[in-house]
Amino acid sequence: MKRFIISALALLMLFALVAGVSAQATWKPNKPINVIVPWGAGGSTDQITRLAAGELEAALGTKLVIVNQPGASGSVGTKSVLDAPRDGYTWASGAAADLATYGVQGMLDTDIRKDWHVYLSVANVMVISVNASTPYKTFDELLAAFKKNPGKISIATAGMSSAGHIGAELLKRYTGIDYKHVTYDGGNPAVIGTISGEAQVTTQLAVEQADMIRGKKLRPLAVLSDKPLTLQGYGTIPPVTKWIPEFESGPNYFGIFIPKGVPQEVIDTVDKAWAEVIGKSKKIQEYAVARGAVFAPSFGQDAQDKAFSYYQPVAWLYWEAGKAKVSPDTLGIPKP
Amino acid sequence: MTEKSMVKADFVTSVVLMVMGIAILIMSIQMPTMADRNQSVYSAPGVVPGFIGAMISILSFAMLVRALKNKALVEFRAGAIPKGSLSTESTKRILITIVLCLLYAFLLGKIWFGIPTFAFIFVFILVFEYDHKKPISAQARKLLVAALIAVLTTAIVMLVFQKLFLVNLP
Amino acid sequence: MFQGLELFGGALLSFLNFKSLFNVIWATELGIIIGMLPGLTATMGVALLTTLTYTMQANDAILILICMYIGSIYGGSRSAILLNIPGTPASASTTLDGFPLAKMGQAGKAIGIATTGSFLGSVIAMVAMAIFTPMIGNVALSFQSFEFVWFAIFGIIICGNLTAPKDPLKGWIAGFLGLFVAMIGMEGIHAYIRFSFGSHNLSGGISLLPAMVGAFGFAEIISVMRHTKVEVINTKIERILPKLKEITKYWKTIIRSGIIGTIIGAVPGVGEDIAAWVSYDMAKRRAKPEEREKFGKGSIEGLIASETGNNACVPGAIIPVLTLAIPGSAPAAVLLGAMLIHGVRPGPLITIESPSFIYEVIAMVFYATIAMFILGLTMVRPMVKILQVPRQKLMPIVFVLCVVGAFALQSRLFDVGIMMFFGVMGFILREMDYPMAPLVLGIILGDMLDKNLRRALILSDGNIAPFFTRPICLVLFIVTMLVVLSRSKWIKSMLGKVFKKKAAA
Repeated sequence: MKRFIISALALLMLFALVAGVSAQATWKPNKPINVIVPWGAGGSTDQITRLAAGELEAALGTKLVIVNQPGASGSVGTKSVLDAPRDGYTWASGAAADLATYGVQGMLDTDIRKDWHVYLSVANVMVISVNASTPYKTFDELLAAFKKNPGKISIATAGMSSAGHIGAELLKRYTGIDYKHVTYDGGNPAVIGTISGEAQVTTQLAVEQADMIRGKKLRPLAVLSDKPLTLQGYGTIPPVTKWIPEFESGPNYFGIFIPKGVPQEVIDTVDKAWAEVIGKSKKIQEYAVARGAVFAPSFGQDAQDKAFSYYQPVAWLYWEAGKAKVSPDTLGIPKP
Repeated sequence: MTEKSMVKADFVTSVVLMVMGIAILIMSIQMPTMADRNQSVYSAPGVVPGFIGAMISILSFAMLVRALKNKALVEFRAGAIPKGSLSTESTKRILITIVLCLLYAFLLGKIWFGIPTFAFIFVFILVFEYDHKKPISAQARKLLVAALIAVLTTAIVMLVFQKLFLVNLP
Repeated sequence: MFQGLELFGGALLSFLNFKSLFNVIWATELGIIIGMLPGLTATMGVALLTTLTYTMQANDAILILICMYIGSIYGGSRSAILLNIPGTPASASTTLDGFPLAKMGQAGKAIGIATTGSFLGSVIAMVAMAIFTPMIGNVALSFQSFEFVWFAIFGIIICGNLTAPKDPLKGWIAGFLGLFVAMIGMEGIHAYIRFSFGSHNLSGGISLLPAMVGAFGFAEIISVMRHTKVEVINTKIERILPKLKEITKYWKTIIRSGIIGTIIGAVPGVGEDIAAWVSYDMAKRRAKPEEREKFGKGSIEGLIASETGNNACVPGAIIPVLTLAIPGSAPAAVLLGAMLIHGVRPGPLITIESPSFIYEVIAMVFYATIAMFILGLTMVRPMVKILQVPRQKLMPIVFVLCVVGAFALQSRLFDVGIMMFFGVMGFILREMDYPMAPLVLGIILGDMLDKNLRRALILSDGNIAPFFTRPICLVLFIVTMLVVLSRSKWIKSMLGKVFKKKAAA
């Protein structure tokens, strides 16, 4: 520990010196960086994080090792990042909205604005789909079934506060339906749970369902947005506003998070790499087109603002639905 | 362990485990059900630990019954610990090993890794090899070999793990 | 099928480079040495190497671990033959015929036979692995929450039953204690922190690897150090390479032992030692009368049976790791832990998510097996020297590695404490005949049981009937009950009375 402090001080002094000469010091990592994906393999966070990590490797000159550490809606993995040494070698990933609402849910005492540097890459939309062998052909039919059997039809999600759960809660708010919430370790396990027939409906993200929709194992009924979604190899999924015109939901941003307290040059270097590499990444753009996501890179205050636009209503949605433990007000998230 | 001392050990452990199992069960029941957050009661955090606590209690109860059938209480009248078992050579060796390892682990993180590691290996080898009946001069070679092993191991461990495997050392 | 061959070919090629082959050779040789040294087990070797290769890339690290696993299970035969002490528990039955052969002056021949037997066992099981692993993947979707609950319970019960033959009750208790250990820390649905008693370190849960390094490493050090020393006999080693005829003569035994080893390997938590005993026992029963006489006095058939059995167990134990995320043996449990650390999540979905990974693992087994065969037949004489290192010189070094290994994963001294705790507790529990394997299996299966049991209850609205009516559940329930009942004295005496009455009537 002593050695760490000494070396940290030395680095700091060095940085102060160099800062006088040039504006920024570059960080040259000397060992692999661990990126914790706090969800199961194959889900939305896993997909985009692996892709972004692959793009960043060359720019940072080191390996980025992806570690899946699922549990409790990503709070288990996120906690281990917070507990790790703040040396810049352990990063978190996921949806900004999750990170921002752990506090509201009482799952983890962390604040996205105070504790994290946020780097966003894509925005995702939720799709409501059913197992292909269920009788529901349209959103209308599913809605009627929900109303007829309150609390009986199961919706598979990646857990409390996951994107899928937000989708299900939004549906509940606009239609008054009651559902059986079945949680999994991630978006991919939730989708698999739906195609295995264990659950009937899923409200997870388009990127997680894309393959199964194309494989005709899932039947998409509506995209939870005001615009239709065109998926390569399938066609167009109608927007939910076709049935519920007042439905409102913004883009759910995903990215990589570095805890505050790491050396400044880490942040400078990653900022630069994010702007130059991720901001122009062909691979991520292609991924977004193929799987129904939106390419939306940002970092710094810009990213914090974008994330806020989505998690603010979500935090209040939980609170009003009685699913939150702490009022968003007390955490500095004003009512929209 | 002899059959008789095993019966006694079983009796004691079954009681300890049963208390533990019941404690786990009670703590699990006291856990929040999350129903106040509109969640299904079956998702309550206490469901599975409660089941495990109950199973531990049941299994240890079965063991308690068996120990009593095998006259555990009668055996205890002859003394809780068999005479002389604490002073045997093997008990001594076990205790020395545990104490040395505990001391080493305790020192880690407080002093730079190299020093306790060298000292631990050196002392460990000597404690088990040194012969009190012989003068030190006759055992110089032993001392030297032990020191050599300790220095080499410490150096190799630090080099290989820090430089090659990039692992942090305490 | 053809796609499988293609994937396998691709995987083979992907390891055909200097770095991978170099890793194969040192890891296998190190495995043989660790297996050879009494007190250093395969589990300990794999656990230590997992922590030490933690910063490597996933495929490199897993390749090294598989080589270590296969090497160490084989290595145990060396000391069994030369010292009459099994290097790992897996070679206990090898001492019965290996040591008498060495005493007769045929140590070299015995080593050659054991090496060939191990090689063939590994090959047979590898083929089985290549055939069955993808097949289980095909029915992957029929394993749902209800089934996984049974897998967790079934694993604990059968592992406790087989690893504590004297007293299965203690095996089961150890298993449930392991499940309880897994409950400590933040749970996986609401992030509620269980049993942390206010400790920040405990709220993150108890990591598997420090616990395993303690239970299998430190505990082993204590029990090795309790005894004074062993005598090393010096035997001359002549011809090592066995004659082809000596092997082909026993082809039936080899195939039988290979199949037994694979199946026992695939049973959760039951490992190489039991595989070796069962195949030795079967070989003895099936042997010709004149050969049976020789068993225990230096029978080549007995030696082949036990060594083929224990090495066939290794790929067998990896099958459920890949397909169900349930380890087939204690070293395989560490291997599973290592895969999770490196971001590979095995389980029923792996055939869908990353089908090539299965074939990569088979290719790793392939290289490790070949390396074990070649290294086993060469460099025999210098290796024997290592056996002569006294334990008080070796054990402190091993303990330093245990400490470094426990610390390496998360750089927490807390984990060193966990290692020490599980070491001392493990030693005490083992003294009282509690096996460690079900405990470790419990720590692994705890999370699976926790999430699936609750999810199943949510799905069925608290109705437990589906646990007994779904087809796979019913089978697992019946098998579990049979295992429990077969070990209960009360039931046995009841059945005995019923059958006596029938016989009398």
